[in-house]
Amino acid sequence: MKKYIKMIVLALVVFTATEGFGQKSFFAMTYSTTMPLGQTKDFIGNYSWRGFALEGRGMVTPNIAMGGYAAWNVLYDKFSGTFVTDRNAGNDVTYTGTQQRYFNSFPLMVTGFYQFMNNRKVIPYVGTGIGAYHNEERVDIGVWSIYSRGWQFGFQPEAGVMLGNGGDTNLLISVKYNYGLKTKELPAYSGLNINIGLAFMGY
Amino acid sequence: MKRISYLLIAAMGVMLFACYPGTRSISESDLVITANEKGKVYKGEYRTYYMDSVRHIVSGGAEIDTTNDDKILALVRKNFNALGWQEIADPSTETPDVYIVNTSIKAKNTGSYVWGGYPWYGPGWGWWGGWYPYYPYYPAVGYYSYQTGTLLIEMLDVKNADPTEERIGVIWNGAAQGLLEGSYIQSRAENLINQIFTQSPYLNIK
Repeated sequence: MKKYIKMIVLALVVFTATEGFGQKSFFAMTYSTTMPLGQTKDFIGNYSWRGFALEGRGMVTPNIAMGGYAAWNVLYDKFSGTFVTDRNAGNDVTYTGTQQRYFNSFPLMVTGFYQFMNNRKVIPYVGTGIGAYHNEERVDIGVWSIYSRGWQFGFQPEAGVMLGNGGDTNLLISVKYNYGLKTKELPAYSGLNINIGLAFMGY
Repeated sequence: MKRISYLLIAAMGVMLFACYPGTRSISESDLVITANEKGKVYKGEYRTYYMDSVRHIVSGGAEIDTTNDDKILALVRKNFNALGWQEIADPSTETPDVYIVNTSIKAKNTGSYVWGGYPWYGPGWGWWGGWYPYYPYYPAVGYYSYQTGTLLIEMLDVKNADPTEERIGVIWNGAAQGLLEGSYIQSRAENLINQIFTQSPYLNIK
């Protein structure tokens, strides 16, 4: 847990320390959707339209930016039926009911980017985040809730574009791949975010 | 202008969010679970059963209600007989292969919760008028009280009981659980009991 706190503090320090570079630092709020992949998709297959992200970046060179990223993404599915499992200590267990499945993900990342064509109205960039996800898997069935949660170390490569006319507010669109390493509590997390929102320049 | 943009985006986030979105009806809280000892072959090994009254367990101040006991026993009996089992009326004259134990468990759950911090989440959607985007400045307190009913049917292996150790194994069990709220409790209970047998095809010894 301590190492994750250190990462967040580092991200804030980097962001604050680089604010002076040509006033190109920014703070952004984006709407964040998620396409689950891998084992996350096995748990919940539905595309998620629930998500929200905050991020900040500061320029450390004319083309290189560093910052921090935090988000909240919620995946949800509901289905009914009869399911058979044989995982219960040598017994065959069958259950019938309605399941509601939830996956809540809170990524906290230190980020680094390379921005192309900084003097244009269209600024494409590539980069990556590295940090941790606080994730929770939960299944509601009957009157019961079964859940597991924990921190997962992970990374978040990303490509995006900033669109604007040189003013204080620009449009930010990005695609992020998320990967959280498997832990004792949780399987590996993977998903693709498409984020769209506003970047407020000069913060 | 920037401040307005922040507010708009924050409001959008609030409306779209909930840790646990979705709703469920009372009947969607019904659950049937069955378990049998892996590899146990019923056909040929077991043929007869004995069953007496329904046992009752209550908790949380719930009251014992025996009015449906006869209906429960009749429905369980009907299902076993349909699967080819033969009931032994008097175990003192003939030892059954298995003993069926029916237990009714009724629990009353009460409590309170504070949800001032998460105004967009929880059973209070309707309280605030659906998409009404405001919420009280003080923490709102909600109270809940609901009863759950569970019928547990256990099959005890009398045929292979160990009289020296005085041990008897449970080779199959089925549980039907639901909220004892709303209308149609009777028909839901019947459906759930029938489902216990529907999802246990290995009990068919015909």
